[in-house]
Amino acid sequence: MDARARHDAAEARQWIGATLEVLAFAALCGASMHAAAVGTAAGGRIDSAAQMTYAVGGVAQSPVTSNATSMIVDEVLDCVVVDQDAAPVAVASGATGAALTFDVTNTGNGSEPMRLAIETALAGDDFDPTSAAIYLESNGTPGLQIGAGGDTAYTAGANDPVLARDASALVYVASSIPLGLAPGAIGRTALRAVPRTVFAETGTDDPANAAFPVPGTTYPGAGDAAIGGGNVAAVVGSTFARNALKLRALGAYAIDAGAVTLTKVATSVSDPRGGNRVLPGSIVHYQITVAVAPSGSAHDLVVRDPLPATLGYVPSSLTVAPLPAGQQADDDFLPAGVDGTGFDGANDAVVVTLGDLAGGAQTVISFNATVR
Amino acid sequence: MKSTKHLFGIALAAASLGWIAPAAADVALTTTAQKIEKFTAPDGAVATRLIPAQKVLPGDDVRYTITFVNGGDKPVDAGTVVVTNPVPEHTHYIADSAFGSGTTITYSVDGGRTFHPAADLMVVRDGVKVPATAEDYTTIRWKFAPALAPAAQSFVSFNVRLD
Repeated sequence: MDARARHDAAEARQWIGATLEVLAFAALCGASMHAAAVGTAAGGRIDSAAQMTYAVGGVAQSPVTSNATSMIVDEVLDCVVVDQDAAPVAVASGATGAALTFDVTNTGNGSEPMRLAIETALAGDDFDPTSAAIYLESNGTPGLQIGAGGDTAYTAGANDPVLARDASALVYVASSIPLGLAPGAIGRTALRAVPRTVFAETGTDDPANAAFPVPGTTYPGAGDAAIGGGNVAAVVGSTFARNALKLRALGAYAIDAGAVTLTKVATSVSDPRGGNRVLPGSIVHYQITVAVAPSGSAHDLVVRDPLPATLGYVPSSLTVAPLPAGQQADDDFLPAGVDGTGFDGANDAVVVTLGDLAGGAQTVISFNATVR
Repeated sequence: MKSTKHLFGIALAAASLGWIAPAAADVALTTTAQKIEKFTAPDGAVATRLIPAQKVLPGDDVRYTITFVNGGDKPVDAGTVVVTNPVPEHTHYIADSAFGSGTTITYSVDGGRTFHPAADLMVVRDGVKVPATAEDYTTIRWKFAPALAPAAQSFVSFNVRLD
């Protein structure tokens, strides 16, 4: 049984009271999805007193109670970061806002803000993700959303997430992927979390800094002020050992040429006689679905569909859903028009500029063509 | 008159058999808590020492020592001194750590209602009755066999680990 389950079991024993046998512990032993079990809450008091009975000359005497001893539980500073992506995140070369997902758990025994940092210039990979930024999951929608209504951008020291004992937070690292990378190239980025008390006491959150503490380092009176009346010390815990390997987790991106898939379907044919046969003059309705893999992303995506000589584009039949900002679903395109979406008459091709798309994005392009 | 004096004599004799003045035996009980701290000796060997316990951390080991002294002028009867100590909240008893010279030690798993030798303690887990382990103990009891003469003292102790 882990320490947390024993703690819960002890409370259950006292609650049961009158029963002779202790009931099953099974219901109290919850499985933890995160890292090591945490101990008794910081500020807790451990009290003990003994009682004695005795007799003199055959007569029982009044029971005697000893003095009471009392101890206070100090706060342990500990946290663990775990990469949540099951495999390297598939991205296209040149993508922006590509997200890695991490879980940060407070494995200490008191409430603590966690100071986060990114480590990108890591050795042993094929490229360095750039422009890395941290976001805190805050809008209730799974995955990273950047912008209005999206997740909160993180600034160290300004909005360090406050985690209660044994609580967790989802943190994203969004990066840009350099251009010109070959499929299969791997780029790594690490997220690091350090209890803010350590930063406040030492001025550093970098394990490479000489001032970074070792397990057992004690900061008197620095414990969670909300408990113990400021009497509680903060003690650096065991995840700071061995160069703080558990305070950081590695995430990886992999260049994936298959991050975007295109599917084209002829959804209907109507012939001049009211049927659906392919005859000269029949109108064919085409639908192209552009899908970005959930773990992928696309950068500066342009879709071109060259029509064969037997098909002629039906003017003003182009639709794009959803239509990216700045594009118009008309036949004009640059340089004659104002955008990059339209019909390229010189090359007999439908052109749609979709720009940057995030993982899971889907766009449906449709147009009509006449059989010549 | 003769019968009244005789009756009075009998009443006095009867009283002296069953009634004892309070504070004739004064036993004091004191508890101390000490942290069992591991340290590395100059020669590199790892040893333990006891230091006062005021601030503790989950996982720390603590020794409780309970001392009893007969401060009175009459001896305490043999086999009547019984010291009972609940396992403190937020800790669990460390197996085989209870000590007391001249004592028989028993444990409770039901909050101090009943006490049994360690080998006889059972708990129910998942509907099955199984032998109890040290983590199940709620209370420890020492029964001191010898008499305790005036001015004599002895002690019992036990270790716990913080949850």
